[in-house]
Amino acid sequence: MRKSLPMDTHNKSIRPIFLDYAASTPLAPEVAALAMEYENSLYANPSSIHQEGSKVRVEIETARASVAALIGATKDQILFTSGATESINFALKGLIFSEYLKKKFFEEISVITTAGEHSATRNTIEFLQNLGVRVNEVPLTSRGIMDLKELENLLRTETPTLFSFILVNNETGVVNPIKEILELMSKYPEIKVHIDATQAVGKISPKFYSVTRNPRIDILSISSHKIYGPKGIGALYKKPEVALVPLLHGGLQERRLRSGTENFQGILGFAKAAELTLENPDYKNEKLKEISEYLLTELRKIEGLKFYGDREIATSQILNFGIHQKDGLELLVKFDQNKIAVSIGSACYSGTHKPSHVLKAMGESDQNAQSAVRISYGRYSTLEEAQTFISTLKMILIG
Amino acid sequence: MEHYPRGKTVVVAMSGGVDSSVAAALLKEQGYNVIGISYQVQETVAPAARAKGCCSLDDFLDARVVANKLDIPYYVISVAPEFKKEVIDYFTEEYLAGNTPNPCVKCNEKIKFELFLNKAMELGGDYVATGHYCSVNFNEETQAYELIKGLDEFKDQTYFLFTLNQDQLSKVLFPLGGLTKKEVRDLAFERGLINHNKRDSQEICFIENSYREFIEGQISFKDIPSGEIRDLQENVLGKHKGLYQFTIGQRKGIPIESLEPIYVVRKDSLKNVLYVGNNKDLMRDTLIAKEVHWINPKENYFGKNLMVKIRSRFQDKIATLTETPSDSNSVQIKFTEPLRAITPGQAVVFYDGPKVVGGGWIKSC
Repeated sequence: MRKSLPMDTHNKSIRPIFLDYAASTPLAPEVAALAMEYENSLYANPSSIHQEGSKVRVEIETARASVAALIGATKDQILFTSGATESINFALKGLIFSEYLKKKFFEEISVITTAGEHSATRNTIEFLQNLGVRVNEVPLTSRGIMDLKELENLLRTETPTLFSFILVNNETGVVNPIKEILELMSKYPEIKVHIDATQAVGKISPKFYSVTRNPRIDILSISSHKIYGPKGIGALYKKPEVALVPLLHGGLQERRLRSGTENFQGILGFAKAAELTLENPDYKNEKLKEISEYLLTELRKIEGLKFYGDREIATSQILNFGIHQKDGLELLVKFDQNKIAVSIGSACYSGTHKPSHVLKAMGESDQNAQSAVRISYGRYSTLEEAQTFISTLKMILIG
Repeated sequence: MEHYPRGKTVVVAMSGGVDSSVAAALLKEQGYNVIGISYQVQETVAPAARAKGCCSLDDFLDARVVANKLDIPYYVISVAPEFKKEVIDYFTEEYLAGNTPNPCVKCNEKIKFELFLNKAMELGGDYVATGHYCSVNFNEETQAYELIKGLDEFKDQTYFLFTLNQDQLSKVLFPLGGLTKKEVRDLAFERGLINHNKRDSQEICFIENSYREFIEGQISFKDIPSGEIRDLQENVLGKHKGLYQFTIGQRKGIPIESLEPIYVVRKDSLKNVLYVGNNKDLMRDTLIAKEVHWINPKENYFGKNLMVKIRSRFQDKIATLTETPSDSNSVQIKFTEPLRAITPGQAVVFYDGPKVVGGGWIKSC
């Protein structure tokens, strides 16, 4: 009955198609090349007083200016961290602990956030809430943005210390209406505004996140590995007058705010990636526009396919959709068998499939949320890859 | 260029232990298209590998590393809600009803070879495979699948698999049936699998501490009424604080002073009475099994001498099965010699030589 026939194993020569840029991006070749250049000469501790240290210090400070330019900041406003998660932790905890030192009671501190935040924000807020901080959450609309009316209502009832929100949603790609939000926030100058710009940089115009153009922004978090830079490095922008309690105490690096010997390789890589993004941002990339149009056209033809998040107000580089009665994990596994990498939910945690809290907050049912698949592409993606993706999707849906 | 893999796809249930890892390796070498999947049974996975239990994040990582080494895809899925209902709640309810449950059999019945098997089929699997020490045979004469004990008698796990039906058996592969544990570890070592030396998980996978603490954690203390301890002549000897704390044959922990050794002989959950007696009182030669399942429903084993196992670690004993007129799903089992501590709630499995005939759940004796 059951015979064991010689079968082909996975064809190793098939190039994988990577459609999970929102989770992480390939290292730009120019960034990868950097490590070789300085290995033998720039190894000293940048805080050392001797010339060897000085050389490294100068490189770091030059790099800082490049990263600052990415968001229209000056280098004295930029602190390097281990990534956006640390930046977000630093912004939220740093601010709240600073308030706590003044007010003495966590219960007297409140924050506002949204229902669509990344787990770095969500879990940090939950931690602060467990300490006693009062938290109000702005719900999402079915389009995927925060409900501005509700935000207005919340602001009328009390004045929190902090309002933190994500600019581009990592799951749906939807862009929060930052202009209107900041205009509203200008009526409440005492509230500190923190923006998670992790997915925004490069994917949408800097006019939305540049701190010179948007002076109402008090603190901003960005990440290197979302813009073809190395993993393990990110940055925090903050206005000089914003007081933050450090997360890391020690050698007083980063203006006494973030101790620890600087991640030199990471910083240089990040700076290079920043320069490349300034020169050639994804949102201006004609090839990516072509891919976007192609994908939207083709996906709209598929029966039973629904987009999550209003495509009109989303970055074209992150697409979230579900197919009626098809489990997202099942699609992911079948794509994976075909060497196409896509995502369901967020990349974090143990790799299990829970219905997305973002989609639930948008009013989607558990079943819809379970069906959701996210694809995201970028600088090194090709139209041919997009075509293979579509043909594979069609084949999976037939079979 | 066609990407979609042709050929037979097997989903291997991987725990991170050496058995399921070697199973995956062997199937890959035999030419199957292998996918490794771990399933998590609780909402929050324990981060570190524990001395007891299995399937912590560390265990999943072991599975992932092995999968990577074997160049097979690996995923983790959750079966937590169903596991809670079918295994954990069953476990607690059985104890509260005065029985001693066997959650591993239940998990195989409801989760591993049903829910997980169905999910594996949905994800593109043609078969499911595990690292169980047993084999499946297709008998051309009877045109039916057979479940056969593993070569390694000590490691044989057919006791836990008696609920498998013909349909499930047609979809399952057990690559380790013809191997001993030592051979399996050697195969793992040869292939450079990191878990070749890993301890076997022996205890119940979802219990971190003791089963008593677990039960107490599942219900509130005030739900457990204390009751009487009596001898078989109905003399009241003392009080107990919950029947769930005792199992048949238990000697330790009975709060009664006695010159001779006394053992738990019976639990009456209706009266909430714990019956104790001496060793002789524990010997029985008959039991009733309920919810009996036959591997091949077409075969009739009544009246024949079979080997019967009443506990996973106990030796098989000779017995004959007879029908119970009142209930077609029950069977009466009579042993040629009395057995000690037959425990209601446990699984009882019947063998014809190395072949599993079927099994059921011990109702009473």
